[in-house]
Amino acid sequence: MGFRCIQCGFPVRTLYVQYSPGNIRLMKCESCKAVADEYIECEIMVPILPYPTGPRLTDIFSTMSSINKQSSFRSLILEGSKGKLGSSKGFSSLVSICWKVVMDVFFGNLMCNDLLLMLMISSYFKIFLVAMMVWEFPSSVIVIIELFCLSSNAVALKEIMNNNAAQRPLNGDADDDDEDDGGGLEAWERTYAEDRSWEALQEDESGLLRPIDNTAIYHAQYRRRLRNLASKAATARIQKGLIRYLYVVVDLSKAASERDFRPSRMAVIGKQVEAFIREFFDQNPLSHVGLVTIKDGIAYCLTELGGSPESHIKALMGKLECSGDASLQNALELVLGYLNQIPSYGHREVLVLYSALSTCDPGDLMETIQKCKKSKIRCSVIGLAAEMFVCKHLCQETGGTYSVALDETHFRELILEHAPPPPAIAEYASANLIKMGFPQRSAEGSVAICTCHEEAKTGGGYTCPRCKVRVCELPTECRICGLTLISSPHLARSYHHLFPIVMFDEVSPSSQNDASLGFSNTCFGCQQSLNSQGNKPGLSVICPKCKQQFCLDCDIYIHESLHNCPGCESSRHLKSLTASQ
Amino acid sequence: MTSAPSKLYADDVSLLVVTLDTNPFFWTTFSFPFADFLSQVLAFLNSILLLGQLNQVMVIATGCNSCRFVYDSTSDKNHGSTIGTMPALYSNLLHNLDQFVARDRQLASPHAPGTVPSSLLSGSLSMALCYIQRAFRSGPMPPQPRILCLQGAADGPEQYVAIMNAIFSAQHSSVPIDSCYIGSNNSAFLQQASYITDGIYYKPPQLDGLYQYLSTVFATDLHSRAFLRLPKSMGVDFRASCFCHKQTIDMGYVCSVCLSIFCEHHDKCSTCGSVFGQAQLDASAADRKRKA
Ligand SMILES: [Zn+2]
Ligand SMILES: [Zn+2]
Ligand SMILES: [Zn+2]
Ligand SMILES: [Zn+2]
Ligand SMILES: [Zn+2]
Ligand SMILES: [Zn+2]
Ligand SMILES: [Zn+2]
Repeated sequence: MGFRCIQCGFPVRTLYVQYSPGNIRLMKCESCKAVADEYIECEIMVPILPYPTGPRLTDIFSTMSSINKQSSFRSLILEGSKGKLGSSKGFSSLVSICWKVVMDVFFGNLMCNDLLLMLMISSYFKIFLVAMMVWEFPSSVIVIIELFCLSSNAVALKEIMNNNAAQRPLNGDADDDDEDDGGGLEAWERTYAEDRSWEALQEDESGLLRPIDNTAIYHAQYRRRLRNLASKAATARIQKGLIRYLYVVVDLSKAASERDFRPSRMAVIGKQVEAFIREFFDQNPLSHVGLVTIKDGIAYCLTELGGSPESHIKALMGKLECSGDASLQNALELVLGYLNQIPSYGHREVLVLYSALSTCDPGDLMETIQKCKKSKIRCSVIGLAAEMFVCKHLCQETGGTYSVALDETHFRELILEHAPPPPAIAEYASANLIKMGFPQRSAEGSVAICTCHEEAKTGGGYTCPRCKVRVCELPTECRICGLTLISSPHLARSYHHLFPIVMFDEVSPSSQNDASLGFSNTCFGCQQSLNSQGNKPGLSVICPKCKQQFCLDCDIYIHESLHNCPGCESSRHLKSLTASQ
Repeated sequence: MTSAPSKLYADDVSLLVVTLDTNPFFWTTFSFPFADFLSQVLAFLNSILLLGQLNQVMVIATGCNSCRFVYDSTSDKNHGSTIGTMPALYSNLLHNLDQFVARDRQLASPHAPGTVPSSLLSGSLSMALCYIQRAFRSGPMPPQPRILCLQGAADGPEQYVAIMNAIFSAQHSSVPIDSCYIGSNNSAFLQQASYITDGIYYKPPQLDGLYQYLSTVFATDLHSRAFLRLPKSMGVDFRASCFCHKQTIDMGYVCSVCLSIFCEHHDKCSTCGSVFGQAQLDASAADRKRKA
């Protein structure tokens, strides 16, 4: 590689001219007229020494990618040492140690100040070089001094690395905090650390790497989950608490800034709460969510109970900063005050996302827990640190669930578990018939005066079926006649909970090939062939009602997303049967 | 929940799944003959295939008692040369359709005379969505799918829940449902389907020029739609159908536990079995008072 000026990065032909051994003249840069590389006199240590701290060399290299950085470094070390050291004995071991140090500095294991100090002290032999400029020594002396200097460098390096290894467990956390959020990983490393793409590989008989074929495993897992759900539904009937009033309490105390979740607990919570709120309104169309945050030991109401996901998400994203202690009692008291006002048919719930390991309360928390129990508020807690007795007690008393997240994916799973409606507990909310209207959407381009904004509006609005006034948004309550107005698709989103489709029976490959059963050997849904291909057994499932055959992918899609059996739906005979049941 | 498929589609390649209403009870009472309808639809399908070499067309027949795939443009059978005077596309589709209609008649169950039984739209929509999921699985760059419902018969309120499920699933995987309704009144189900999934609902005013309507409104791929002035929605009928009589209603009672819709007041929910308390009686009494 060519040389570059350390001041401005302009390429220079050579760094110095050697007049006699040890007597050199530094070259100036043509562009900025400064000495191109003043560190050349420090000779071999040049490439190592200025890099971690010296801002100027770093500037030069900052344009290159990080990988380039490493390889160019290696070549610098090799070039430099080849020229000066020739075939010196300790050369290879020295290079390896230097390399290790460079890597350590890269990943932030070594403190830069220590390294600098060590290098300066251990290079004391270099003082002789000053003497050499004055007295004429044979050139072999340079090699000898060099050797002394390098050996003492090497010893010092070894020492400092041993030291560092011993210290690391003690001050590891402190080091972590000094780094930026990459956690000591380069950007290109981080993507792999999260993906763990190598874990999806396995070796086949011939020793080649192949992606793991986990469709069968995945399908087995899914069927187990389905069976669990089916058995639960059988015992609990299909009563679900579909009209929910949920407060999400977000702990924004100092503990939320911990970086055990990447980039921080707070950021992870923000991201997952957003996903949760969207999913929640998808599955619970008539429900309401409110947001409460705990900061400095005080609970704040971020958003009131409402049905619009966007406003909640916007409010939360604007307030993602943390300080002070957490107080479970303050949060519960606040939520209690709000939830006591909701109608009797609603299910009251609190979901606490708790980062702290302590709670700093003004009074007796146990009393508040009993109050929650009396108000029939179902409290659930997801911890981000470790299990706490008081959280567990709260959940047990009020019938909620308590879980502690291990990592981000686990946290996501845990929080999304709260999205589907929980089984209704009769005593928690009284059943009720609510009178509702299903307004029609008027044509785009029609003009009418709406009651909500009291101004003339063009475009689609909804017309109250009882008093025929115009409203802009659904769901709402008619301002004139007080009728609850919702669009029927809102209700219909939850109907698959009411009419779950039966689990399909598995068909063994042997009976499938049996012609007497008269299987068509194509999936009824997607027309894919179900014949066994190669040595793979062609698994399939069959609907017990319509006796149609489906492939595994369709099976999962039908039960997880579609909630219709295409076979049953396309047979009038079966439809009338199910309707009469 | 399965995650929504990636938004990465092969450029300009469309997968069009057409559901074709073959309800014999509808066509015998309708003024426009089925044969004319079919010939215009076939011309339309042909023009879709001619628009792009890689375009795919699937046709699902929506019968009165069953549904079936009747045409697949990717199947090998259709690539044969023309048989006699008819292109392979037509002969294959017509052959399957003939078979299907005959089978559908055999399955017929008795119905009240004088009424037109509905077509099984929920079945053909479910099949179309399953097929589209297979296309999503087929590779990293699947063709961009859409569904076109050519529907004539009136809505079957008994299919309400199933059709809604299909609509939400389509919305979840961002598959637009276009609908061309040729019956006499508007179809509330198809209006909702197109509204929710961002498709186009259109009711051609004159069936003689059906091909013209189909090719100008429904033939363009999703990307080009942004540049067209397509027919504006003429309002959407968001009425629901009640669970007790399967009637379409605009006002009703909703069970707070399971959200079932009833057209009149009940003491007990027939879906979830909850017994309704006293509180609601007061509420509805107050409601009535306010109304008066
Ligand atoms: Zn320079
Ligand atoms: Zn308004
Ligand atoms: Zn009104
Ligand atoms: Zn399939
Ligand atoms: Zn079935
Ligand atoms: Zn009814
Ligand atoms: Zn109910």
